[in-house]
Amino acid sequence: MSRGLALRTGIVGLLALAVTMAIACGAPAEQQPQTGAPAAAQQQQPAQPQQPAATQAPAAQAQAEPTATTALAQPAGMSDRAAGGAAPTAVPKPEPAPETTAGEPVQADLRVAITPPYAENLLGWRVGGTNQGILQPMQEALFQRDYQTWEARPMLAESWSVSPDGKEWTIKLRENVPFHHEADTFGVSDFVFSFQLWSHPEAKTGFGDFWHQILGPEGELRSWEVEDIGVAATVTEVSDNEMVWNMNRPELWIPFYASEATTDPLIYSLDYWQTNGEEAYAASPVGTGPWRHVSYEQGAKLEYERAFDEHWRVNPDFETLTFFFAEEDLTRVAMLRAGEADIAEIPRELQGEIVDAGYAITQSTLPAFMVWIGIGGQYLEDRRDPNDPNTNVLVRRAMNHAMDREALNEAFFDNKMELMANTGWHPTDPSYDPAWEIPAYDPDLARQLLQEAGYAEGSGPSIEFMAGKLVGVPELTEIAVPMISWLEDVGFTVDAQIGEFQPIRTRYKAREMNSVLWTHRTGFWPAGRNMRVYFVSPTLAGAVYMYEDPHTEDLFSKWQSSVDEDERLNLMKEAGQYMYEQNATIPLGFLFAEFGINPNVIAEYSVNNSYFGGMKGHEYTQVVRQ
Amino acid sequence: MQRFIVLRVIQSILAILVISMVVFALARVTGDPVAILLPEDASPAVVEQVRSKWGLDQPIYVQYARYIGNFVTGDFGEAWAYGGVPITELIARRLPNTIVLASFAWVISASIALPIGVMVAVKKDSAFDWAGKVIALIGQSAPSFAIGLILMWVFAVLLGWLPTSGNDAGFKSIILPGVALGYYNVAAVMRLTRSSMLEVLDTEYVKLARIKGMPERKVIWKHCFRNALIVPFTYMGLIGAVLLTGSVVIETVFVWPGLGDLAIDAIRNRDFPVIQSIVILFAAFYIFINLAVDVMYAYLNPRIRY
Repeated sequence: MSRGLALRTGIVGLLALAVTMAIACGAPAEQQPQTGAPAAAQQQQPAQPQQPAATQAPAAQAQAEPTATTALAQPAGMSDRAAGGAAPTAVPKPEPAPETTAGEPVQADLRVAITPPYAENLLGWRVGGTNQGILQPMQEALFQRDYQTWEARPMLAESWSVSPDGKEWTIKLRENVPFHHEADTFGVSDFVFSFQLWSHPEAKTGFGDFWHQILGPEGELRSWEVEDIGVAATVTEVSDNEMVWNMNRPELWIPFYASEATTDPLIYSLDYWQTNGEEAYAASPVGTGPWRHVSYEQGAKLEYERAFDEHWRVNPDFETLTFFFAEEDLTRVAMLRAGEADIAEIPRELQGEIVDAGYAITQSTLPAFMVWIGIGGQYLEDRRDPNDPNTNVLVRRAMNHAMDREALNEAFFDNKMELMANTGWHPTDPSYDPAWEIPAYDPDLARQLLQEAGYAEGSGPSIEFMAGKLVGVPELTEIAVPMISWLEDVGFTVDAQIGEFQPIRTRYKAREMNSVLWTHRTGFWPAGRNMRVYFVSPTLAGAVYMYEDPHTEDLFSKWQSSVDEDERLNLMKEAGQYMYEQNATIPLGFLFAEFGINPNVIAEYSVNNSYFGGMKGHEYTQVVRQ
Repeated sequence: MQRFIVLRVIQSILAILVISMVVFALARVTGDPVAILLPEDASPAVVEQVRSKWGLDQPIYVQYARYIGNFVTGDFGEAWAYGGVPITELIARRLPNTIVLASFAWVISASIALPIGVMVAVKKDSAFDWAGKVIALIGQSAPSFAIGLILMWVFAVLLGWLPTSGNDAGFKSIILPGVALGYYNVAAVMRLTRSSMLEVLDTEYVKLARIKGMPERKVIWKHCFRNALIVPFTYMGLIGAVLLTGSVVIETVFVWPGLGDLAIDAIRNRDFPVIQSIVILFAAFYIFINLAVDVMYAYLNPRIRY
């Protein structure tokens, strides 16, 4: 009797739970999102991880066509001309939005699963570059980049020219571009207001220091008095849609720094801010982009919808765009496979599984990341420590020849890394020298170099090796393990510290990296920008102080103040050559942004070259039509 | 009794104070938040400006005194990584989600563990008992995130019955994270219920009830179950606090926008004020629930005297 009752009790309990779940689940098949790719699609999309199924769609990007002055045949890369600086009068014409193909779209919503930005906030200027990618569907910049050629293209700036001394930029703004609240159109005062935000003392934008550097002849743009908002000494308003932007030093790369590629220089509406205040702007921001903000749930998702019937630049194929912020890699994989996301950030080690299941992996047109090992302690300008082995070029050469880059590439990056000869210089950069060679893996040579540097065999220098994870390249800590063993193999004594990146940043910011090697990555930037951030001292407003050498400091200083394109190119070449010869770093390679996509929904997805790839450019993503 | 309550309240306040000191110091050991929160090329002047604004240029005891002084007045400060949003606002936005998830997980724990606990006690040493032990073993040994991922794979990816993550599909959204979170405690509650039931089943008054011919259902549910509940009940009070504070990993896996998810973000961003506020809040939950359970236990069991 008691057994029967107990059995019944247990069964009733389990049934109650099962009924609860069944009620909650409702009708399973019809109401659920698609699960995985159907068999037909799997046949159409064979596993080709190296061949993006979704084409990289430059043609679909309705970027405005430059005139002859900016469209001269250029090597892909960041020359002054490509930056727009050498073009005296660029008068580009916008292309019409791409015509949609026939047929009904299979769905109206585009859902993108990405890792959460460092700090989510809808006021980009307050939270810094990494976080502003999620705002770019909504906000535009003055310029955009062509992600095939890296050239400057018009965005909210319609045409531009620079004075011979490189200090005055005359910019004609695009007329009749409405903000989303539709009570205002974009004009000079909006630009000035936006510039005040980027260069505000509390701004955390990635290029904030650059904006401070170029503040115009009368300096104090950053007034935050209410009556001064939208008024700046550095900008002369010619008309509501034309202005002269004055710099206190020559700067030929304004169309690069003020482009959407750098994520900082987003345009805010002065009218909306003044009418509603900062809090309202943060809660419900507006911009001029093709998507309009709908809702935001911190830590979970951000929703946009198509903003206009006819946007000046492009009409998105999807009616809505939602970013889901999922920290866990497997959660994003599950979202893609359960049909809850159409595009998802998938780590390299899980990509094979996605492809096997019939999904596609698509790759950016240009690299998204540059990965290398910094050699610390090279404060050669003012704090040279002769006892630091890192200051000896023979030791640095030995380090370079101790590394088996091809083995790293095969083991950790599935051979998808483009190996790099000289940190900071990609082959598409005009100042790149094709004669530069990737340091060969040669442990014997490394040992010999250490002996030449004065170290007895088997008792090389003692160094620290720090490795920390950074978004986009989680392998940074894993690759440290074989690299440390290779260094030890040739005679180094290595104190390994593998964990978070933050302690590394604290130390290099304090210029306390003597005898330290550390893993690092950045986005894909032109050599001039890399020089400024990584390879100059605080005197020249460097940021990482990875290599401070009087010679390169001098070259960079001249490059920065020159307005002669040929001279600048030669100076950058010379700086690159010198750093290559000095083995200033341990270059590793370039990596591409890669995303998993559902080919049943996405017909065309163009991942741009930055590590914001998953966040930007979805107005050009094309839906599958029936 | 009143003396006991007053003493326990004082102990609780002291415990929270000590925890606040520990978390305050430990957070700072992990490194400089300015290096994380400001862009790589922020100038030294900007770095100093921000450091000064956040009071990081002050000695640590000054920072702590300032922080705790504001905290007791309900001002938790501003979230550095979230563009200066008041932390109370952030917590108010996230806390309801955590409470809902923890409550559902609690219900899941109770609704699975209690009936199975009774069943395996009544059917001691049978196949059911062994099955119960296996369930307990899995629940105790498998990490909740692993259970969560398995559930996600089966019910969301393979069967498509439930959403993988998020909280915008109503009740469906909470099932997987709730089960994953609640399952860990099933084992402990079930084993406690079993042993407690076995003890009661062996008492004289239960034997007498059976001899008198009382229906077995009545014997088990009216006489045994109610008397056996006191130990699992006490434990379930405690796991209420565990579920509230232990949802950090599950919230991250299931993109559940609660306090745990916020805590992970804050740790990633070295947002000290947010980390401190959440840890102190979690500690306060835990201590308060312990206190409440102690007091209720004393009231419920007249044999207990303090």
